[in-house]
Amino acid sequence: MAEHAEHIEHSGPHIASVSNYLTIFSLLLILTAATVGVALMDLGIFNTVVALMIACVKAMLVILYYMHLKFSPGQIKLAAAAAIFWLMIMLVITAFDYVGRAWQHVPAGW
Amino acid sequence: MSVSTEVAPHGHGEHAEHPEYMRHQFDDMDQQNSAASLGMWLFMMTEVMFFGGFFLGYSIYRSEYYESFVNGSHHLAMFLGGLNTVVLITSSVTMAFAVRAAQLGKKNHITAFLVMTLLLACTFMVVKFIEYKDKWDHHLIPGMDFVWTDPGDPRTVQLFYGFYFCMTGMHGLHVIIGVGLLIWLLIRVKQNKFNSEYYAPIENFGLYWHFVDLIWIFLFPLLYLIGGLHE
Repeated sequence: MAEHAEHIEHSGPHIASVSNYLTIFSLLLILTAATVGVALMDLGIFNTVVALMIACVKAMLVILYYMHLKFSPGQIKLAAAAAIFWLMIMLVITAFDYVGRAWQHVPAGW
Repeated sequence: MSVSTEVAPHGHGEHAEHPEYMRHQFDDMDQQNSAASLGMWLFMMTEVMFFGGFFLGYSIYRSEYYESFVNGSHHLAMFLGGLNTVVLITSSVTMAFAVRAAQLGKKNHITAFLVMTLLLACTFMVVKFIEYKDKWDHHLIPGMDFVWTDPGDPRTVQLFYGFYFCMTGMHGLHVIIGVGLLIWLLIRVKQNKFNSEYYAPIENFGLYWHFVDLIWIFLFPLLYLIGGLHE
């Protein structure tokens, strides 16, 4: 069935094979198990780092293959990149603001 | 691929006939489909910023009151959260298959995969309800008789639960909207509204559904798995 799909002639949308979807599905399940497995280990601060890295890998798999971004035209890739870029502006610059300013603690005696 | 030449042999010039699913303003289906796709991605861009606000607030208060977030997180049902992750990932693959069936024009397969996605979405909400009910019974709803006897400052633990309910609640609202849209799609499929050339609503709903899955992929470790080992 998978090979059948690859031989379909089409000029329009990308039609991924069944085996492709199932491979991504199993990878997502394995990575979910890995997320839980890592959470049960004590890695200190790296618990969060590893958990977020696994989540990002899962997100990339979903975006590239389930949402077909890998096979999408440039304008769609640009829209996706802009979404991530703007999100980063919001997260990173606000984080710098919180780290860089001494506005979180009221001094003793006030 | 030019539609007008296929379906309208008499069509000439700008008043060529076109199928009802093709809007007047487009030259052909390729153009209409790529416009629909781009519109959906732009909408998802706004969704990224919308949920991004929650994640930003979460990160700031988590770094400020880390201990309370750990203590609060330990009261969440890790098993149910993990189960719901698997449910959503599975619903994503059934949705991907529904879009594939639409691309190939297989009506029965579209229906079958949409129904599976719908059932999994409902499963997700049932599990979510069980979790919320448990929090209700244990007085863990922020602002409503919030009771915290475990270690940690109740005020900042309450803050964690505020984020938990806002983020999972807004995500759950997206799932509920998804259920509504799935029912609408199933009706349209039954009415033979789609074919291998026109299935943009199914494809765009697929994008929406994968996005909902994406959000949960981040919510699960950030809310349920803070601070490692528990239970």
